[in-house]
Amino acid sequence: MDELARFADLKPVVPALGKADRAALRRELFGDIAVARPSGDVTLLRLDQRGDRPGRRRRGVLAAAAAVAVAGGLGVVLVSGGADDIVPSAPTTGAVPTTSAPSSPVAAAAEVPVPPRVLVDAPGWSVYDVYEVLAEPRADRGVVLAPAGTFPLGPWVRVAARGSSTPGVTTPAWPDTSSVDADGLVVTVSRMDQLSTATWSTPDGMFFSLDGWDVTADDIRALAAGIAYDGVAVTVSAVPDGWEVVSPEQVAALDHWNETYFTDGTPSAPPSTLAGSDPTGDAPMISRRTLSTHFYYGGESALRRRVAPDEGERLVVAGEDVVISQEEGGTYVRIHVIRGDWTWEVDVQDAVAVTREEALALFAQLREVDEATWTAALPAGTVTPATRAAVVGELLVGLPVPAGYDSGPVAGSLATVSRPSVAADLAVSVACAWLDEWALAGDMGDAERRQGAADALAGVPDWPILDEAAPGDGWDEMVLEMALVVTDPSVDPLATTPPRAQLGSCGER
Amino acid sequence: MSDDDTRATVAGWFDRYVDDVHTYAARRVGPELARDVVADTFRIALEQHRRYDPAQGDVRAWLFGIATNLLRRHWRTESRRLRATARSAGRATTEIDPLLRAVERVDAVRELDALLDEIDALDPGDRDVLVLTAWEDMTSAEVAAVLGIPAGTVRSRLNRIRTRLRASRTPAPAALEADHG
Repeated sequence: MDELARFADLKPVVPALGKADRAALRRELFGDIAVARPSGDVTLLRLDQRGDRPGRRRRGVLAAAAAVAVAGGLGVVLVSGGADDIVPSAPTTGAVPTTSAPSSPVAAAAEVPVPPRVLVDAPGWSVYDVYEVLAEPRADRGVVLAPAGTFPLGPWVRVAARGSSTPGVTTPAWPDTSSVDADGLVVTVSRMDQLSTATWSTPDGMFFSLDGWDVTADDIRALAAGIAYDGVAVTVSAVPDGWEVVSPEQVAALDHWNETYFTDGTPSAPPSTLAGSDPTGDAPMISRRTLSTHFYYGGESALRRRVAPDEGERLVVAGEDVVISQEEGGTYVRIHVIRGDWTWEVDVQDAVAVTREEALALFAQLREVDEATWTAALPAGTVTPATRAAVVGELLVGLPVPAGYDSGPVAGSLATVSRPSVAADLAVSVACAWLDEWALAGDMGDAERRQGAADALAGVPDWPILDEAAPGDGWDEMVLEMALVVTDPSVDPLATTPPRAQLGSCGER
Repeated sequence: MSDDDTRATVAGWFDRYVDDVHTYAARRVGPELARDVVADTFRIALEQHRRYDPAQGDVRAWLFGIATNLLRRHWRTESRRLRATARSAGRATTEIDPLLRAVERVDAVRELDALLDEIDALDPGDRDVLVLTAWEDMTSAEVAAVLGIPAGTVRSRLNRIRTRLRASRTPAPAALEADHG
């Protein structure tokens, strides 16, 4: 267990300040000043605190599997459940196979649309933040299986072949670890909450790994028995009853979403109170009312999951079939629009109160615009595909990178995001490159080069890019912990410390 | 801003953050002292509200910073409280698993004692970083705002703290021999 987690375990449970004590203390300090009515000046929640959205949740879940650094005989390997399943850090005695099209029934491919570009066509409204992920379908992410028709909202598993040369890879040291027998195969299953990982080797020496969501040990046993590698790709010889292989496009769709945040820009009153902007730049300007749009994969099934049958009301607004639901207390209205397999979710939030009529009126003011118009309306500093390479270049200034480091994957992304998001991606990418360098030098027996990488990682706390890397979202902490794997040999690389460690891994580059 | 406006403003801060500040203080020094710390925190906020600089962090961080400074006066209490909590946690472990071998219990208790010794030995600034990170679940940037130091310094301190606390887990061979001999 990480040392901070050990200390965190000692956190005392303390009684809350009682109402009577609270009132007495208030009188003592402030006399009879009335309890402040909620004013318009609220700082909005950070992205990671804003409700649960399939895209975000999925990302977090995969990252939980991803944040497992494993030290095997071949050096450090960072295992990812995200964009890449494995990033080998050292030469292998045989090529690490990719996984590709299975030989079993495949669910129909889902079209991955471009997120709609929308603006609020009302006076005073502007965009204050945008975040999106536009992942390309990749054949080498592993084979994903799920009960028919339930993906991505039901259980799923992803299986990847690791080749015959990675015997040192181990499963995460989660407390709930056990072995199951799958037709003679010994499968080591490790579970944490709804996430499972499993590994096994076949008699011919092939090594497989699995990560899954909301699956049982029996599911894993049944699946493991039907997985093989034919020399080219992972194949599924026996899909369990009721399951199907998910298409790569559907898998990619999960990492394909857009979030855009608007504010009416109403200043707080009085302006001298609580009026500070977040110095980290993470939180938006204070405003009275906000609107956010989220476009993600899930469609009607996502709606059913997020809106109970007895909640929500179906209406036609501005030509769209919508489902509207309202938070108790009246400060928050959510409007769902279903477009095929995709969900467009619009939240209207107010510091004091918002009625559904006001929210619907605002919704009716949303206008889909072309890419150029949308881009022009984004806040200064937003990084678009056109400016990303230059921003990455700026962020790299003064940042030590190993020889041959390629920033292309970060610089070439087509997603439009804030500059701190780009900084976070780049910081992770560079830290991973140094980890690769360190492991490779170790395998080559090059002590000087290995020490150079260790020295570079020891400097991570001083990397200026961490001051820009999505402060508040914990990316800086995550990069620091990655570096500790090398700079402090006593670190147990399998001991992760949620939630910081759930934020990503080398595989998320 | 008039005095009334100031009081109204800080009263608003009180309404919004008193529970957070109280919980933080109570975790460190217990509910009894926490009330005094909370009262002093908001008294100081009233007196010095003009020194609040939004550019340096949000109001909550500023209030936590004041409370943190006040809590340093009570570090002995904090230490005693921490050891009491640890003893309680250790007792719970053996109650859950009474079959835990005696030698393992001894090891666990010794390890915990060593950890607490190291925490006692941390300088106040490092201890603040540790508590704000591990108990209040703050990021480096948030801790930096509370303590008025750069985020890089927070990260460096965390690095150092981890190293020190980790060292406490490895008893010297001589100690092991003495204990098991």
